[in-house]
Amino acid sequence: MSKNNTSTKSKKTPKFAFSNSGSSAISLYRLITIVVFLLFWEWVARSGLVNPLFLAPPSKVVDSIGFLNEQGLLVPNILATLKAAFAGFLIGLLVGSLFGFVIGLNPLLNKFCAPFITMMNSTPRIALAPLFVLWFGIGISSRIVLVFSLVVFIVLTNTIAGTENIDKDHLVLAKLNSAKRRDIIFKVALPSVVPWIIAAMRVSFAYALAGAVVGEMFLGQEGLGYLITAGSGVFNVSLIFAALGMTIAIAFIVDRLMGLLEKRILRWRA
Amino acid sequence: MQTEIEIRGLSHHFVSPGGKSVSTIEDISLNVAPGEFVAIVGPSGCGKSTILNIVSGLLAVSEGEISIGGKKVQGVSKELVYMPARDSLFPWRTCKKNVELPLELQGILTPAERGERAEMLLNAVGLNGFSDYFPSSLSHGMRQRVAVARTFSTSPRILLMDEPFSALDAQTKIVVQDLFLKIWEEEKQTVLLITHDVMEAVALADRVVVLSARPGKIKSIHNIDLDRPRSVRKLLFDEPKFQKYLHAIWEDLDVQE
Repeated sequence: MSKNNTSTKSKKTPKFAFSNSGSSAISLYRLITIVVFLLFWEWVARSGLVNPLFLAPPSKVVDSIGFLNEQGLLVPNILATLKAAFAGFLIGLLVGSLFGFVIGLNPLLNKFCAPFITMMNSTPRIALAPLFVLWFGIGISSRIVLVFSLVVFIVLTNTIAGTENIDKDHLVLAKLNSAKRRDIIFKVALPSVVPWIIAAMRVSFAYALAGAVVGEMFLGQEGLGYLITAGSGVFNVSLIFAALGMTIAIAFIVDRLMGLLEKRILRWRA
Repeated sequence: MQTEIEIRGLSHHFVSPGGKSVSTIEDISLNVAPGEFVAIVGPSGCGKSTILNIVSGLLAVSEGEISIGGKKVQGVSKELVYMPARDSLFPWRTCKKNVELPLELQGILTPAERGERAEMLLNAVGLNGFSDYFPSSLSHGMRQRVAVARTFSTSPRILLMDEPFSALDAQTKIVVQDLFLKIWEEEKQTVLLITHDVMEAVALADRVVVLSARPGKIKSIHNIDLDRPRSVRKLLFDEPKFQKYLHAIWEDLDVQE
């Protein structure tokens, strides 16, 4: 998933990518691309080429968002989705990194667990949604469990991969200095694994959000996923797009924030 | 004569993936006096690093005996420091924190004293002002200088060095070697240096041990009678004796054209 995120590899790419002076130009081109795309979409939707039952123009989507807001349906539903996504995400992050760290640092345990982790990881968790309702009811807890089940394995496998990639030279150096086990854990292993956990964090939030939305579609009375189901029930496409747009906006903002966090925590990288 | 490192009848073999026993070194005996600088040179694959790994306690002795300061080696000893070819600096630690690492792990000095010692050593290797830089923002040469500072941080009695400057380009190498010599000539640790670079061996050491190709046996030992303090830069250009030693050792190495 993010196996390529080792410090040496990701360190080098920016130098060959765009220079700083180019980044403002890139922002401009991005903006132009988005505007052109929206205009094109607006045109297609209004031209009569497509049945308006299937595609709503962006202007109508914006109207829908405004309408939801007037009805007091926008903020509570966004908050409901965020609550399930973040709760599941944080618990998954905590459990996944903790277990991954412990498993990864014990070669025998790692070997023992590997096939089980692969099996659980390859189970389509979204398909378990109905089971989760059965087990945990139709409240928020079943959605949190669904999100958790998605996030925890991404973080777990990444953390284990991180422990397997601890620099052997660092371990030898610590050993030659008669390092105690706790020093090896906290001064060598943990800092080595942090970049892997952060990479997993960024990847898994998208899954967390998707899990929360899908969960609401199946089993919720609230949230952005619920709006999507409601919209499709009454053939209100603009409502569906409004909910999707909100989901994308949340994912984008959270990813940006985590990007800042990553820069801060991994400031030792070039 | 007093002995700091005593290697007696040391042989080592490992089992190859095919199941055969491969001998890397055979019957090595060597005494290193306190404060003496001994370099071991030999063709690649002759088991040079094996000797160092055994002396450091990282690798168990399969045949023979090793004592340090009169005591048999059993596992890793705090009296010695090992300096590898790669700087193996911790990227998440600043230069200063990297130099402090061995002190921290061994619980030597108070945190404030560690900081002072690290600053002092960074100055000694010409890196004043770089204390709070992360390794990722330094050049190879600078990183290796931090590694030199780290090597001296615990004031060890013995330094084991495995091709410590081999990753550096020719010019940087000489600069770092001279910095190293300057500190060492004040502190006078016992040094066992492994290198394939004959020039480095002659320039730095009091004695150069030449090993044969695998399995490595001691072929000859050369006493290097050059004045101290030395400067690698000066030796290279103005010392006829230096060239003579180089020649003699090259002959012994018997490098095939």
